Amino acid sequence: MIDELNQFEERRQEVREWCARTVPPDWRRQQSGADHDSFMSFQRWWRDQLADAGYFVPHWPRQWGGSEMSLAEQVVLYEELARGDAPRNAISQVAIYNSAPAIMHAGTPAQRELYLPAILGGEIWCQGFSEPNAGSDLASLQTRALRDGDHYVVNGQKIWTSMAREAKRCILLARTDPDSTKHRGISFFVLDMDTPGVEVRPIKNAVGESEFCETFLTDVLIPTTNLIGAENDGWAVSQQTLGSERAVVLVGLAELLRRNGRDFLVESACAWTMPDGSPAVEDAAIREAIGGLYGEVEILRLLLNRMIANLIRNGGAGPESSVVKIYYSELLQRLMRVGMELEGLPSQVSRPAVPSSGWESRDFLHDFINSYAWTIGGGTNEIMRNIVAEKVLGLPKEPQGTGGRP
Amino acid sequence: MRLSVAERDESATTARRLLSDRSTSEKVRSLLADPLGHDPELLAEMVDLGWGASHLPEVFGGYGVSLGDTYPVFSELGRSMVGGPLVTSAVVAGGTLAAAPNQDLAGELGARLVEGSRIVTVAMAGPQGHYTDAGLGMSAVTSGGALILSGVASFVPDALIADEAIVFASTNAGVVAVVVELRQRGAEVTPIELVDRTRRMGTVSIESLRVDPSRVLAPVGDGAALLETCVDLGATTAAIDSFGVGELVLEQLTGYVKERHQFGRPIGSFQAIKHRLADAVLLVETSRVAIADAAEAVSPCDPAERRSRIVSASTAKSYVGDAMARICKDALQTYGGIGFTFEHDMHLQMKRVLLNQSMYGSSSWHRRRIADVALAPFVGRPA
Repeated sequence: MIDELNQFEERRQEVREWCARTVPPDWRRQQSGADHDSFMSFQRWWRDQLADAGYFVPHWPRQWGGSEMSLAEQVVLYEELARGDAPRNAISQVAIYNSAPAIMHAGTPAQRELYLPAILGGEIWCQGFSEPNAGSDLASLQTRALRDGDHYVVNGQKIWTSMAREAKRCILLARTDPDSTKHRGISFFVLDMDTPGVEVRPIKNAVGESEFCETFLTDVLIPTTNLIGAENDGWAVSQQTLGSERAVVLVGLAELLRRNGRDFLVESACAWTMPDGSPAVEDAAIREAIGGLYGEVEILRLLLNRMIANLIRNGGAGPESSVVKIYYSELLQRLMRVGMELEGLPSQVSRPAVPSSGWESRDFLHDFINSYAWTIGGGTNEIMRNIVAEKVLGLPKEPQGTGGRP
Repeated sequence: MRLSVAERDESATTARRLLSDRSTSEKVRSLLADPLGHDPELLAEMVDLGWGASHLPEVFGGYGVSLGDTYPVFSELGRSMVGGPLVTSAVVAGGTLAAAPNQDLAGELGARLVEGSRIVTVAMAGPQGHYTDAGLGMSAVTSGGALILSGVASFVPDALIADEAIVFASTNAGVVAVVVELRQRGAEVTPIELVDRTRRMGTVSIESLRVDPSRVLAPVGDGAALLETCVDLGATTAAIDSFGVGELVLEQLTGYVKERHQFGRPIGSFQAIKHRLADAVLLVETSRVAIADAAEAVSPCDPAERRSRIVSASTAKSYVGDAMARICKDALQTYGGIGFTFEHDMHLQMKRVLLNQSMYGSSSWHRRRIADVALAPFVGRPA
């Protein structure tokens, strides 16, 4: 337990009571098999509830309409939301955790006045970083932005732009200096998604949902006033994500994995039988698998406690956040895989998805496949391992390729 | 009592400084063939520093500090591959005494243990190396108001050097725990030749030994619970020891892959090596929090309630035990030929970690222990 959390008992009680009042007890059933429109309207409703309570941007300064909660207070908030079985806020992540920090840090006063209230008001944003040929090697992106008077003319293709269909705006990385390579010569823009020349095509993902998209940009005009930070300095701007606040969100994910993942597995296993008709939970191998996962989920929480305690006392999330990302995502995947394997053939029956439920929808096979969003997204675990080896242990970098040039 | 962060850091720093000086690789190697396998002067010094007393109750003469604050010292013993009975006597036996129902006997023996005049070990497993009611090596029958003890307890840590043993024995009515003087007629101690030559174990054989009622530490009805406590303490110390070894193995290997060049570059720049070491970082960081949690949970002066104590101790034993073994296996492979030589410390480190992985119960048994607790609310089995 983190000692600093004890002083926020009042906040804990408040969130607990709020959840009891606000979270619809039957939301999982209602949202089971929900189509896209029903999902979106439920998500918008939920976002408004969070905003009314001051839980939508808990970490923002009051000046911008936030609740200015300390890290410890945010930990309490996310713990209680998870315990109260609150739905996942699935539509605001890019706006809150990727766009706003860049704008707060590198934006002009006019840009902050324009965009931050819009995000607070619930605008959905998407992220145009990855390209078909620039995934893990993001810095080799090829989308071009050429300055023409008071506009940039942008051409290129972005991929994995989650929520691009619903998004009002997009944070976009494009190359403004065609002669430079890698991290140099990239600029950071805000793109209005209704600009002519922007075409969005949804991509159906492996679990059949169409949350992310391809975005094609053909002679798109972006006003120079939409450039965030200096021209060619976009890479640095894009690194301004709120490491500490993102780390705090993981507390909620760990709590959910414990309650809706592990505890659900333990409970489910009690109903399963072995081929000889005996209860599955009397089988030594199954007990061992369950016991192992049980302990590993405990370790996740301990690991997060230590990271949060360090953040509260020393500030700043270092490369240890990569350790947490790898451990969480692979534990999630392992737990779902084991659940699927232990459940056996019945796990193969297709069940209606519950898109607002986060990563534990109580369908092991679905959640196993969906877990790849975590081991691939946000920097693949292979890239994360490079970061751990280079930043934590100080191992030398791999010799670089030629950046696509001969 | 809790220590401040500064006090904790200071004791760990003191331990590392002392042991890096007094338990060098040369020193460890010089003790490999020694019958008792430790340096009595170093033991006396560690006792003087309070390492054997700090986590034990004040009624024993201890300082009453939480093991959650003092355990880093014991991980330093693993790091420097120190032999000798300190951990067995002070933590496993001492912690068991603190939890025992017969506090008259526990207090008397605990006081002598703390002052260093008596060394105490624990005798549980039979020849199969199981730490369960069914796996005990000794049994007892009641005759004329006294217990008659017989049997063979195997894998008794530091048996040759210990003065007394807490012996767990099965009876037809359940487990009992008694204290037995090891150097007396009727008790025979023989050494076991372990592959890990940095530590010592022995076999204790007893034939029809009459145990005075005053030497019963836990009677039938309480013995099984005390056995669980003893296993949790032993399991946690094995995990803490392994952590110390594994953390150093990673540090040493990191240095090696930065220096060793092949194909014109440091082998640490190859992704195959990098990812292996990144995995080791993950294993070390997750293990670090697991042993801290287990040390809190089994702390003799303020233990957690039974269920969470078992989950924490068994998680540390199985997860950390396996994690550190994996680091050693990967490290030996990464060193290549040099790591396969007797001259290199890698094999000593690997053997120590492998013994830790097996003693006080296998990883798979400990995982099933966690499941016993996790499943109990649902299936109504006794956990």
